[in-house]
Amino acid sequence: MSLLLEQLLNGLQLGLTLFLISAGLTLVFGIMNFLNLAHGSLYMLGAFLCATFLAKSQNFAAAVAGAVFVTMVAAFILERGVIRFFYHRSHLDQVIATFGLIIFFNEFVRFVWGPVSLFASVPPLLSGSVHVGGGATLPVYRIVLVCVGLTTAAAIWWTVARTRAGILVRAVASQPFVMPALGVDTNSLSTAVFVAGAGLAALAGALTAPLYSIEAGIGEPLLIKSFVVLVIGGLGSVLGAFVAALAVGVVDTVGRLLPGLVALPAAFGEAAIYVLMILVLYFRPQGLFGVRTSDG
Amino acid sequence: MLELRDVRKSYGKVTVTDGLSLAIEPNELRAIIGPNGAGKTSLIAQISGELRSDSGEIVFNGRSLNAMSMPARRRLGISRTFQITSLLRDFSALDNVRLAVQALDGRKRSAFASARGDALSTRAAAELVEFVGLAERADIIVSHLAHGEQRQLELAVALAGSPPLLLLDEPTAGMASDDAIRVKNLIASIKGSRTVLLIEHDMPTVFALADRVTVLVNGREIATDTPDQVRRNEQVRASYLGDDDA
Amino acid sequence: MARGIRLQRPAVLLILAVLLLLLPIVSNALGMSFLTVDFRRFLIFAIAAVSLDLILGYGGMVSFGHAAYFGLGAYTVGLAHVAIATQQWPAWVSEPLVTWCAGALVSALVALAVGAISLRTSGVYFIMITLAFAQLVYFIFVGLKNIGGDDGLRFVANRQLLGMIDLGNRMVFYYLVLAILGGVVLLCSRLTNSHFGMVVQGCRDNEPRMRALGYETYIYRLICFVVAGALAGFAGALFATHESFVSVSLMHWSRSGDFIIMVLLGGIGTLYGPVFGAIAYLWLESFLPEYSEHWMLFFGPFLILAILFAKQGVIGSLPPAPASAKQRHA
Repeated sequence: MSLLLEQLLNGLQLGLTLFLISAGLTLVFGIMNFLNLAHGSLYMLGAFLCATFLAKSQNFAAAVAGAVFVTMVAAFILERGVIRFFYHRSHLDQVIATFGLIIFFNEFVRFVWGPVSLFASVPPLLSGSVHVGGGATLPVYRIVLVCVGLTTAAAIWWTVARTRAGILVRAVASQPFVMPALGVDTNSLSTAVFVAGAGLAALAGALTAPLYSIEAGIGEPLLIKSFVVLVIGGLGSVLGAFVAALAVGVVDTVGRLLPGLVALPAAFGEAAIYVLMILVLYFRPQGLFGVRTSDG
Repeated sequence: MLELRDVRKSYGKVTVTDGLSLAIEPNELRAIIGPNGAGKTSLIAQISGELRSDSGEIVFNGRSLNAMSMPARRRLGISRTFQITSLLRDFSALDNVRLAVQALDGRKRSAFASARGDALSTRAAAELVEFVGLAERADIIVSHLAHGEQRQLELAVALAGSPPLLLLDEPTAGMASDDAIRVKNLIASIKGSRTVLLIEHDMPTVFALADRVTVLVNGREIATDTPDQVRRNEQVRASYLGDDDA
Repeated sequence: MARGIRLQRPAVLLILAVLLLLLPIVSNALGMSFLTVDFRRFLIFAIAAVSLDLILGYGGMVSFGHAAYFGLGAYTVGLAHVAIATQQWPAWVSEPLVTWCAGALVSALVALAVGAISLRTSGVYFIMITLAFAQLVYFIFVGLKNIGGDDGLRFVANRQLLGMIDLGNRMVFYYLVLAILGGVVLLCSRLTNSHFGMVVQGCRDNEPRMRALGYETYIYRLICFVVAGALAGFAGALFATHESFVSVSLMHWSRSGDFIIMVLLGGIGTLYGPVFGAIAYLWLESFLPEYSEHWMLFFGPFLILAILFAKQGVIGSLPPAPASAKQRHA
């Protein structure tokens, strides 16, 4: 029972991490029809920067804020210098160009930080565990992460649903051709959305830095899981990303337990989220909340 | 030949087809007219299988189409042209028609024999290309064809396999008057040998070609009659034709 | 505009073929016979690259999971040898022809399963789903510790083909691979010009139109996807015999990206362009690290620039022969 509770918490935390990554991906695709394979690299940068700033300042909050800020600056340069040339290119071109970015960034972190993995430690204030009912103990840090994740999700929801900027974003996501008619500077909008998405990814990277090892290539497995999230949730929908991310996070974490508990092959733990994806695709090929067709 | 029974289709709050029932006789040329947004293209899309109706039945030669996919309906003989030209843009005109012919002639084809070398289907395609007046342009890539020529090609593609039911969605849309007249004559020449459902905005064409006319407004049929009767119908004049009919 | 001598595509193909035919002889003469083995590896990957061009260039299906089929073919050979060594299977199973065909079959079956699901979608969804499924295959194999997992599987590959042809002779095996590559290119060429191939290309051009013509487009694309998977599996199996070693890195998602790069840089939709792309890419990859440990820092931006300015690839940028210009498809 306590194992289940602990795994549920882990699943929730993974889900919210995936949400922070997926939200940026789905918005960038929804607005600019751009599939950014290098989004995982932004997560990775967030983790590396956080670890570095933490080592220098010993102040976790500052390290996270710094990591997010610097990554957003990098994303700004990236968007202006490279990304925007591909908005009108085929998805194949976008995928290969961003693949080139992945190659670059993975080598870049090896070049700057060396080949050895970095580590960040959980801030002392947030380490330790709390006792919840039933004799179970849950790590404080993960609970904090879940809270931060939910708060960020709420903030995103409020921005998208209530502010003028958010309504603009939603309008363009569902009907891209209205963009010129709304008198909006498309260049600024694209940059803003891209940078905001990068900030969210970097936040995820910085927050999870104490949990996982920090090395080149850590972004891609999460990115590919985010693809599963987006297929299930539907491209272009932030709500879809939220629901699907939580589902994927929980199913993935709990799914890995099952082969140990019941007579299932070990591979099932890996395959659980794919089974979920196949089921969703069968009933709703455009995803649960899909707003755009895949061909835009 | 074709029957629609209480067909309905909505997108959320917007109803495009509102309990439509029609009966079209074999070899009849039925024109569908009505204001923009009346649901004419949606109607054709539902008959061809591109759209699934929410309820109601579409019956072709006594056979319900409801469960049939779009390719299956085409193979059954329900052929359509598209209001917004939809062709294989990187293929030649002849290639487009040949592919259409090959889909329907039911012959087994080797995975190693050259498609262009198939004499029978090439000849059948060439005949259709000539029929619509594109013989000299047969080898030109579609993206290099003029708009009017592409509309002619749409017709040739639709005629592949001699389909018994032809759904023509504004075949003369956007054409210069010379080209439009050519297309009108083509339709006139196939009239009577197959069933045709024709969506048109050009009233002289409608009155010249149609055996009967159905008027569609807001997804509902408000009149079905001979062209003359429809022209005189008060309700039709009020909602569509106005007092300045062509 | 100055009119110099411009290479026509058939001439380039001929030059490439002659160079590849002469390579083992020349490298032997120069005392660099290791080149024969190196190029043999390049040609094996070229077979997989050509099979990707079939679905990518002609079918318009951007599959970011092609390396999975290559890896599955390789593992089939490796695992068959292990099963024989542990006396679970009879010795004749290790006959190269048997294991190679088995590799192709395994990959074809997995491609059938993946394709059946993925081809219900298109566009970006298709790219993401093929990538996700390839990742699944990768992780399943990583998790199978008893067959080597991360460290890979080392075995002694049976190199006697039909008891007659000694693949231990590096030149003989090289020429066999070259012959297979030529056969695959020829096969794909016939396939793309056939009725089947025309339908698949039509689906790339305008899929709704093809359905309106009466074609069950899903079936055609699925068959094309499976054929490509089978060919990639066959190539993977050849690799296992060539290398006597297989590892999960063969199936890593970035390898799928590598295959796409080989196709794009060589010339998408040309069938033999990817041969050039595979050789060039793998050859550069084999000696560039000696110049700079961080050569990938430059390769990433190079790739971006290549896609921006030369996405037709090397072969694709050359003018076609005059007779085929009339029926050229983009």
